[in-house]
Amino acid sequence: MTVTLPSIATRRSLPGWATFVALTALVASPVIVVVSSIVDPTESMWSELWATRLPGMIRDTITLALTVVGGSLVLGTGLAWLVTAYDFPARRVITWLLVTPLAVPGYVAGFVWLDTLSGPLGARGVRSIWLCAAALVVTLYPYVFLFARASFKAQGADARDAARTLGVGPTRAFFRVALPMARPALAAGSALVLMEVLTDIGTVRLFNVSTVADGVMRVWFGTGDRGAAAELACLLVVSAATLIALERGLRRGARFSTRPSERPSSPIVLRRGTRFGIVGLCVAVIAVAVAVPIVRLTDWALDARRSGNAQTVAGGVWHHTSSSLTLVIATCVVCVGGGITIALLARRRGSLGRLLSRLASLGYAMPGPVVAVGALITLAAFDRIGLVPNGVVLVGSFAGLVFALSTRFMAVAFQGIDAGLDRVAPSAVASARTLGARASRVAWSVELPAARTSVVAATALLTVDLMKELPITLLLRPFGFDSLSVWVWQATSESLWEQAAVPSLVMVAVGMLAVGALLAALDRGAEVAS
Amino acid sequence: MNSPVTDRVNDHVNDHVALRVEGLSKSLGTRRIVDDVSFTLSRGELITLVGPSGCGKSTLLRMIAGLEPNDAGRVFVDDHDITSTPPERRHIGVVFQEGSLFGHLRVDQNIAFGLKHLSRSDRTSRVEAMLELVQLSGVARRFPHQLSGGEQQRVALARALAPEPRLMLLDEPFASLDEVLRDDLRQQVAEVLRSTHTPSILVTHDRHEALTLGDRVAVMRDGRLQQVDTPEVVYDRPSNRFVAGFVGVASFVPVADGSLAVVRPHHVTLTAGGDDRVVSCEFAGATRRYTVRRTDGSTVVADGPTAGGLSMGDACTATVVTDRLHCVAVDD
Repeated sequence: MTVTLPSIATRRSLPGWATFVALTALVASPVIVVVSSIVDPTESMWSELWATRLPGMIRDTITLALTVVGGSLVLGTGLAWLVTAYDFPARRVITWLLVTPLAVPGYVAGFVWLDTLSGPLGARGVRSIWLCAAALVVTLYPYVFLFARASFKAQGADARDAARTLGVGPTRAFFRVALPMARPALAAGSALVLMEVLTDIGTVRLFNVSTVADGVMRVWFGTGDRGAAAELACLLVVSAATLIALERGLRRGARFSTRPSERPSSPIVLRRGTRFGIVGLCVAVIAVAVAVPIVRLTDWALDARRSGNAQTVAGGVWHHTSSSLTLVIATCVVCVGGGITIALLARRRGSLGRLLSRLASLGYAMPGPVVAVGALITLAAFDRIGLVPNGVVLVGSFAGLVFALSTRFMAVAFQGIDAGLDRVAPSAVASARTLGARASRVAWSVELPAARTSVVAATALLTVDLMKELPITLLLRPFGFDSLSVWVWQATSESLWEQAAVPSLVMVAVGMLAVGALLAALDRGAEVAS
Repeated sequence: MNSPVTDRVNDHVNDHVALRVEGLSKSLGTRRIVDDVSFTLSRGELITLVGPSGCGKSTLLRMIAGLEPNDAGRVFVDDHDITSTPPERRHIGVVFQEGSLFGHLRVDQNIAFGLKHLSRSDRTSRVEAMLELVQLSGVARRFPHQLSGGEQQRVALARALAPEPRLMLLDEPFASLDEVLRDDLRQQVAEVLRSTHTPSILVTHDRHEALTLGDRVAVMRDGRLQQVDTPEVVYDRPSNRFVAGFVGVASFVPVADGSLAVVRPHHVTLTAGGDDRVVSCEFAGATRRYTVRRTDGSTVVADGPTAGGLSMGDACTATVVTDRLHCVAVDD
C-alpha cells in the first residue's frame, strides 16, 4: 500500500494570505492597467500612426529583435560551450571577463563605437540598424552565456558520453545532444535579451532606429497622452507574450533537465593552436565589448579634466552617483524583500500560490516603457483615492519611482530566490517542524540560509540591471533627480560624448563589481546544489 | 599483495575472445585508480565486475569504452587494438547508471540515435524489434521522464544494443532502483544479453548481483583485479582474504600452517551447551544467524533453525571441520 504524504500542513493564516494577495496585486497592477487600456482604443491615434510611422516602427522592432536575439544566441551559446567543454589558459578569468559586457549599457557601447568608427576610423553611414544590433548583441549576449553555461555544466557527462558510445563524434554530440538539452536555458536567456531589446530606448535613439519603445517615448513626450502611450505599449506586450508562448508550445512534452549527473564533464584539453584560437576569440569579444569602451571613456574623462572643468565634473559625479546608488539600494531592498516574501508565501500555498507568484513576475516580461506607463497610471489612481494620507503625492516622487522599478524587477529577485529555496530538501523542513519550529522560524533558520547565495546573486543581477536602467527612471523620476543613466542619456542625445564619459565609467565600474559578485554567487550556488 | 589473477576460461583460444585488456592503468595524481589490469572476455560471456565503491571499476569500464584516457596498457576488441580509437568508433555499447537518456527525444528517437547509418525503414523496424526485446512496445512515443526508473533503464539497454555493438558495458545499471524492481530487471537484462549473444561486462557493488548474474565474476579492490573466475570458484576458493569476505559471509579461523581457513556459515555446526558463547543472533527468515565467540578467541558465524534456537549469551559449542576448508594467507 502506498501512502501519499501531504505537503507539510500550515495553517492558512489570514494575515499571510492578505499580505500575499496585496503584494501580488500591487506588483502586477501596472501591467494589468496597460493591458486593460486596449479595451478602449484611441482610434484617432491608431489611424494616424498606422498611416505614418507605425509600419516602420513594427518593421524596425522585429528586425532589431530577431537580429539581436539571434546574434546573442550564437555568441552566448558558442562562448559558453567553449568555456565549459574545453580547457585553455586563464579559463576562469576569461569566463568572468566574458560576463562583464553586462556592465556596459548598450547606449554606452553604442556612442563609443559611433565616435570611434566615424572619428578615428572615418567610416560612413554608421548610424544603421545593423550597428545598433551589433552594439546590443555584444552587451546583451552575457544573459544567454550565463544560462547556457549553467545548463552545459548541469548536463554533466553522461548524456554526451552516451552519444559518443552510440557513434557520434564530439562536435555532432554538441549539436544533437548538448544544444537541444540546453534549449529551455537558451530560451530563458533569449527571453531576457528580447525584453532588453524591446525595452531599449537609449541605443536605438543613438542609431536613429525608431522602434515601438522609442515610439512610446515620443508619444509620451510629444503629446503627453498617457492613454495613447499605454496602447502603443500594449503592442510590445503582445509581441513579447506571443514569442514566449510560441517557444513554449514548440517544446511540447519534452523535458530537458534529466537528473543532474554525478560526473561533471571534464573539459577537453586542446592542441596548442586551437587553444590560442579560442583565447584569441574570447579576447576579441571582450575587447570590442568592454576594453575599447573603457579606454575611450577614460580618454574623454582625462580630456575633460585637462580642459579645466574638473571641478564641475567631480561635483556632478558625486551627485549623480549618490542618486543612482540610493535608487539602486532602495529598489534592491524592496525587490529582495518582496521577492523573499512572495517566494516563501507562495510555496506554502499550492497551485493558487504558484499562479499568484507568476502574476507578480509578469512585470519582468514587460518592456520598461510599458511598466513606466502602467505605473504612472496606477500611481495617479493611488493619489486620487488618497492612498497615502497628508496630501503626499506619489506621482513624480522617489517612492513612486522605486515602486515602478520594483514592479518590473521584483521577478528577478523572486525567481532567483525561489530557485534557491527549491534546493532545500523537504525532509529538512519536515525535520525542523518535528523539532518544534514554527513556520516562521523554519523560514528564517532553515530555508533562507539555504537560499543565501541566491539572494546575493539576485541582488548583484538587480544592481547590474538597475544601474543601466533608463526608460522607467527617465519617465518617472522626481523633478531634479538625475541618475548616472539619465546624465548619459541627456549628454548623448546632444552628441556630447565627453560629458557622458565620466558617468558611463562609473556605471561600468559598479556594474563590473556586481558582475563579479554575481558570478561568484552563481558558482557557489552550483557547488552547494551538487 | 601481488597474487596472480586466475583466468581459467578460454584464455588461450583467441577465436573466442571478444575483449582482451592488457596491463590497463590509470593514475590521478599519485593515486593509482586502475593498476595493471589484464583479463579477457569471451564471446557471449557475461562478466560481473564487483568491488567496493571507489575501487576503480567504473574507471576501468570507461577506459574500455574510450571515455577516459588510459596511462598505460592496451585494449583489443576482436583482436584489433582499439586503445587509441575514439569512443564513437569503438562499437561498444554502454548503459550508464541513470539519467543518460536524451530528455529531449522520445523513447523511439532515443533508440534510433545510434542508427543513423540505416535506411529509414530499417531503422524503424530495428527500433520496433529492440522495443519488443525489452518488452516496452507500448511506450515508443513517450518521453523518458514519463517512464519509471526500471523502464528508463530498459530503454537505455535497448538504445545501447540497437547498433549491435561488439560488446556491452553496463555501469551499475540497477543502482538507483528499489530492491524488488532490481531483482526482476536484472534477470530480464541478463536474458536479453544472452539472447543477443552480446559479450558484456556488468559493474556492480552488490555481491549478490555479481554472483547470480555472471558467467564469471571479477573482483576488484584498490584498482587491482583480485580474482576472475566462475561464481562457484570465487565463493568456494577465494584467492585471498578480501575476496572471501567480499563475496559472502565468512569467518576466518587460523589453521596449523599459519594461514586462515575460510569458514562459511554452512561449515559450522552449532549445538547447545559447551564453552562457546552466542554473542549475537539475528532473525533471517527460515534460519537464525548466530555469531559465536569460541574459547580460542576466534569468532565464527553460523546458521541455525529459527524455532527453539539459542539466544544471546547462551552457552554452545561451534564445531568447525577445518581440515577440508579452503585457506587464504593471513596478511592482506
